Amino acid sequence: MAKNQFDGGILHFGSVRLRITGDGSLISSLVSLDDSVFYQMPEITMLAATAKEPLILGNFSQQRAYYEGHTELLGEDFNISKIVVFVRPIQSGYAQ
Amino acid sequence: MGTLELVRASSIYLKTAGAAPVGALPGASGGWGVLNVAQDSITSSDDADILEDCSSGSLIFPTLDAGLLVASFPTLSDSIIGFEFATNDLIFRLDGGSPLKFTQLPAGFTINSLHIFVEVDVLDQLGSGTAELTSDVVGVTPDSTSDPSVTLAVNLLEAGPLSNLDFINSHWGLTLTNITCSSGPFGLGLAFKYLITGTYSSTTYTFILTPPGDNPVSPGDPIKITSPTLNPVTIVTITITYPGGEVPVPPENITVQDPTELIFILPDLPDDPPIITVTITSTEFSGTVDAGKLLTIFFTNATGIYTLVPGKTTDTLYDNTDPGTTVEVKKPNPTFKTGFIGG
Repeated sequence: MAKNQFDGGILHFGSVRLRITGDGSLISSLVSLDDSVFYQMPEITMLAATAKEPLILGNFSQQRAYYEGHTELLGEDFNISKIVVFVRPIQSGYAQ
Repeated sequence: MGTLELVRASSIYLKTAGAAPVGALPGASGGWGVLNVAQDSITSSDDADILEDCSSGSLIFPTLDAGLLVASFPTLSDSIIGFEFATNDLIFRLDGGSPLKFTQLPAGFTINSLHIFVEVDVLDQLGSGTAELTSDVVGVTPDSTSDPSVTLAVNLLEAGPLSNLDFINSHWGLTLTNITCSSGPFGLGLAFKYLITGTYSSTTYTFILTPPGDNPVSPGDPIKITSPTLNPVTIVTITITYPGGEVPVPPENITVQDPTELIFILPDLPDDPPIITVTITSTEFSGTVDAGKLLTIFFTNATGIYTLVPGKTTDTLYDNTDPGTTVEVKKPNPTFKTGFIGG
């Protein structure tokens, strides 16, 4: 199997697009390995029905990261059917 | 508070220093013998008569065939007539109702006062003479009279620290001493009627277990209550009450019941009430509760069985600040996250 040429490279996480409905505010972030670094994404207000898939802008550079979101208030809920994370390799790796 | 009467003695004894009394059981000699006497079931009209006679001082003994109590003696000296009240006989009458056994008494039954009224008539069968009667009723200063018709009114509560239950259980009774008759050689007839009446109350002792406490207990834990005067023969019922319901403690949960200690196992409760009240009802009970050690019931908020309800965005908990109600709380931050992105 061919090794990914960007393996170990540093990625830039530029945005996240969601197909999301719900009630309340979604608080989301990007989190690095070992949860050591994170980037707080802007909050989005959810609607019960919407024709739009919001794009949440970010600026986070890490070798690997995951995207997480949650709600914090009583009665809030969300329903997500799609998550697209936009990334771009920007560096080959960290110097030793 | 109600009226109490001891309507009928189970047995009546005569104790003589010498020969057995006439009418005593076969074989009886000096000492106690059971009088073969007739007792009438005293009616309310009889009671009224006796009380009226006692209060007015007009003591007119009815005819002997009234069937109250008749015994005949030879000349007597230093004798005692005693009443026995057995617990398994119908001896109590409350508020003019039907006679009851001891075990039929209402929960919390407590004697508040008890008076004994006696009318005595000493009748010469032959010849003439005088009769003197003194009384000594369980420690009360004796009364005496030379009147052959005598009424004695004695309040047992003045007799000292006697337990009213001891009065029953230990066969205490009216004791008349020094029945001295100096009549002709053919003996005397002694007749008297008696009435024992007083008041009673039903006392319920309630121990309230108030949270929050330092030592919460759970169903299955023992709860101990001590009392210096808890009577072992009393009928004890224990009921757990809480807002919205009550649960009786089954008899098998009462593991210890002795004169000074009562231990029961807290039964399962249908809800998880944060506050419960334990009510202990017995014929006679008073005492103290172990302070703060075993008698605090405290249940924290509990979800019970978790039920998943589609579309429900909150959790429902029982509210221990307002027993019997529920409170909606938020779920702990519903969260999603993706897998790691990157090579």
